[in-house]
Amino acid sequence: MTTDLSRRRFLQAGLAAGVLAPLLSACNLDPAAKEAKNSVRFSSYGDPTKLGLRSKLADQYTSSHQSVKMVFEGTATAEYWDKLATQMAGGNAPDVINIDAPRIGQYGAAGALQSLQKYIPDTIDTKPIDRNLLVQGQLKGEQFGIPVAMSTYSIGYDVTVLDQLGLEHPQETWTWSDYATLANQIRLKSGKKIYGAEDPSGDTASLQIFLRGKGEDLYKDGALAFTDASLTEWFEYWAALRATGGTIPADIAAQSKYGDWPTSPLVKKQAALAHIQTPNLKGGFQDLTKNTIDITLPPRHTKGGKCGTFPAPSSFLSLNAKSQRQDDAAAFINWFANGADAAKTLRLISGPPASAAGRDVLLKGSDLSASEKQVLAYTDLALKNSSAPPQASPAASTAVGDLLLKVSQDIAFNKISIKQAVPKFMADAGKTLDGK
Amino acid sequence: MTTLQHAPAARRRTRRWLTHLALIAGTLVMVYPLLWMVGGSFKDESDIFSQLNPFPSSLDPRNYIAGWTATDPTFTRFYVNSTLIAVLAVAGNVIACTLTAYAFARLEFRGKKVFFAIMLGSIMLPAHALLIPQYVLFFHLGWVNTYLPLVVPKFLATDAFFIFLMVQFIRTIPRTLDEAAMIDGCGKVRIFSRIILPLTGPVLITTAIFTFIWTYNDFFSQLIYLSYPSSETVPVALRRFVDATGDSSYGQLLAMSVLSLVPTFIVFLLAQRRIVEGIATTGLKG
Amino acid sequence: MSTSTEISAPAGREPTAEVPPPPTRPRPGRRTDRVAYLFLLPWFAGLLLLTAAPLLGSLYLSFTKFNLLQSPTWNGFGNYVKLFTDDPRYLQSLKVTFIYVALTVPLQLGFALAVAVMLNRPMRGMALYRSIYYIPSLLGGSVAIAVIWGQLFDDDGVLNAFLAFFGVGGRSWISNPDTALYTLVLLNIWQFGSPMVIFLAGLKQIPQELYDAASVDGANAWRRFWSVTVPLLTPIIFFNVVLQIIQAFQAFTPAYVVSGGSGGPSDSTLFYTLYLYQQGFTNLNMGYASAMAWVLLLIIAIFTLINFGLARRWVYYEDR
Repeated sequence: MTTDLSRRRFLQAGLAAGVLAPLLSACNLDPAAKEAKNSVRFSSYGDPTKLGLRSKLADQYTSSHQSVKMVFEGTATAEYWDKLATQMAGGNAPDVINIDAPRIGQYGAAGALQSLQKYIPDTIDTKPIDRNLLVQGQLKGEQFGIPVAMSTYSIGYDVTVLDQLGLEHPQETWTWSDYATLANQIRLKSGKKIYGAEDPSGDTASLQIFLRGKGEDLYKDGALAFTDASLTEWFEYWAALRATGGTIPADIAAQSKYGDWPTSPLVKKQAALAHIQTPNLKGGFQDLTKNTIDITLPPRHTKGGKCGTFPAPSSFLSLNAKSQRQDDAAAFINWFANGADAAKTLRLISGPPASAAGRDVLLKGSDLSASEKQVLAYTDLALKNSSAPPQASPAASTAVGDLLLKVSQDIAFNKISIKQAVPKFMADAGKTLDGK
Repeated sequence: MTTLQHAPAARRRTRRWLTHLALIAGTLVMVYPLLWMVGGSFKDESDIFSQLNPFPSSLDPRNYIAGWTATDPTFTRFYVNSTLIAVLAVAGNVIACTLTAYAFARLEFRGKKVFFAIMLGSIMLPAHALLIPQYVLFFHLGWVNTYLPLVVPKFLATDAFFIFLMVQFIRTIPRTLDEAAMIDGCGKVRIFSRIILPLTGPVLITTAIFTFIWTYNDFFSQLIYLSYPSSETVPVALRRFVDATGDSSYGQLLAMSVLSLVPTFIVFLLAQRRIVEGIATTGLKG
Repeated sequence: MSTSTEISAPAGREPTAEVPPPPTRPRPGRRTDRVAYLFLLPWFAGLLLLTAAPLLGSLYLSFTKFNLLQSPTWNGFGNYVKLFTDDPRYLQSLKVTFIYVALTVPLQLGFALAVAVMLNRPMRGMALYRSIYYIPSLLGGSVAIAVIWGQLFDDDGVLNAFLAFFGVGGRSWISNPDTALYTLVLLNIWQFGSPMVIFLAGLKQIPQELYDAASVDGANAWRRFWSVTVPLLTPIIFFNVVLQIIQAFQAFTPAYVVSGGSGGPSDSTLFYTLYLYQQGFTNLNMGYASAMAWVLLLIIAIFTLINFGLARRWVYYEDR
């Protein structure tokens, strides 16, 4: 009965394939999986350098704290949020979570993060940390995230281009009309070879600076905190510059996205002015161009008026509400945010440390690089000129950001008039914020 | 050969040259991006995006060295992991999909049409919608942070693309062959192993190639299911070189991207011969 | 061409690949191969253990509000109603996706078939060409693609440099709402490797004798293509049509990579699954995203059914 024989052999082969192979792969293909049990998981996002340093810190903590084993999980920024959301949904998120400003509102409001209030001040010492930064990690008065470093909005300019064209560098006291004048001059003096500035009209961070200079803000208590008139003024300001070439045209603007560094008009030498968050100055801009880039304060609405800038946390450390090891996790957060070891290891990788203790450690060391000095000097300047910080972003702030980008593109491509666009945006954004 | 047999030699030669000319023109369009990647991987960070000329001024391998060692562990580990996953996936898909496809193409059973519809329907739902329920399932099975979610499904024939592909190929094999074998006393199992398997060579190779390449490049599930550096894979590690929140290392990114193509390219180069030269179907007539 | 005998006739009459008639019962006089269940064992196991639960899970989620962080709450048909009555961006994503499918499927397949036939010739260097032509598909959705596509279709990109040579002034093709989608169609055509390889494998299944016989009958290359290659390749062409339509409806990577996940400019590349992703993962509306997924499944299923219906008229199987 050859048929039966081969059938049996066939059955065996099938079984071997179906059962054995998965079993094989179950065994020991992933030794790390075992050590994760009974340890504190710490997840973070960033580039290889930043993740490498944070992973090193987790190891340092493990070796100096016998009772705790830190396990580090690092992910590239773009996908970190997808992974975190998936882990949250599966009930398998890490204990210590590195999180950014828009998400702390989103996750905190949904109860996914643990309030740190009960750990302050005994386990987590918040006194050395800048108050303005702390506020931005609070929801309804309770601390949900400890800021790790400081990031400040600045206007970057191409020193090489301005010098070539014989134009003066922007002053830290400049106004929005100075900005427009400079942008138009760059266009004219360059013989229309380059444009003046980037087009940030769809960027919420830039809009926020503009609004704060007027004493308004993006959000307050979970709702929009600015008027139709201010938004109209914002769009009209950029539309006017677009018409004169003071800012890049719609299609160039659409292909550049903040964070996608090579597409930046400043890097591509299409424009000489663009906003820069301080931690990105080196890796996102200066390293990618041979021209010299410097930064200054964003413009004000009137001479001597209010400057919209404020120190923002580059990111926070938060505690998973479902963590089994909350006490250990909280102790680690404190060590990371305030410890001298951490400051020495991390340096300015995400901006100056949020904790004064950490900044002191850095300033005492005499080994600061040129770009580190540049950032520290600017941060000093920005801190002196900044106004009261905004509240933590509402849950839907990312979605509102997408809306602003889209409406700004619709305007730039002449698909809709500013007059129609503004009320539409206000209504859509309001609806989004209400969760409808 | 036979196709050109009757053309005069001169005309044949002209035609051959024209074909080559067209193919070479096509080659330029196909390899320009690769050329640009390779060129960029040897350039300074500030030159990569400011020059249209893809050729670098020197062949300094520093981006390769720095990129390979930028992560802890180094890329060596990631290549081992990626290859292991891809090889297991190939084994799974080839075995499981062939068995399933043979049943659908040649055997009769209750509910065949319904099962076929379900099989095809299972690939009509976009992956992003299935991700969360799948993650929950694998988490409860205790499979998260192992390679099981990436490999086991392949052994259980969840890839309808390949099942349907093989069904279509098996159906191009004349049934008269089955019948002849049956008259010789072969059962369904032997028909499968003696007739169908040998004659589906090209599609088995195709399945193997695609499974290898697609698994190797399947960034998202590797990202979701593997969390620890030691178990990570090449595409996941690659993504870190471009980061919106800090330093980006485009030279290293390009260098590692070029290297990441090497395994899949070699697999394709070696295996594609088998598709084309593999099993001659001569001797089979409808 | 196949000489059906008595034995194969009942089985062979019914094309297996027809979707999905009412539940079938073995008709009187019809064989059942019990060994079939043995062959299907892995697949059944996969269906029951791995596939069914997530499918049903996402169907359930489509009737809920679910933000991934809290338990889902029942929402009835709310998500489905909102899709078609209160979401202009959804309608835009439908429009973008239909245009993309309509353009990319015939163009990519036509191109892939033409190149496959060309590369199937017994000439020197074909192995190298085949490998080179597959390179774009190897690149997949790598980050480099985004950069490269920008390099080609930016205002200062290669295409415009080329056009400027002829004195034609260019603009940015990739970031203009009127042309952005077409650059993605081009990207997909350019990555034609997979259907090409499948065609090549199919071409190898065609017995050389048939070509010889046709040549003896005096058929030229063009005639041989239409009378031998095409008819015998129909099951493979059919496969590629069905699968490419499914994949084109689900296209995600090109837009995600090239537009940085935004679907911009001005939502002009807001593919269906990209919007689904934004809703599910950026806005954390996974219930809504699941409803979108099931509507897409319905759309794809209808197209697939039509395909299988039409297939009876033009697909030729050796096992009939």
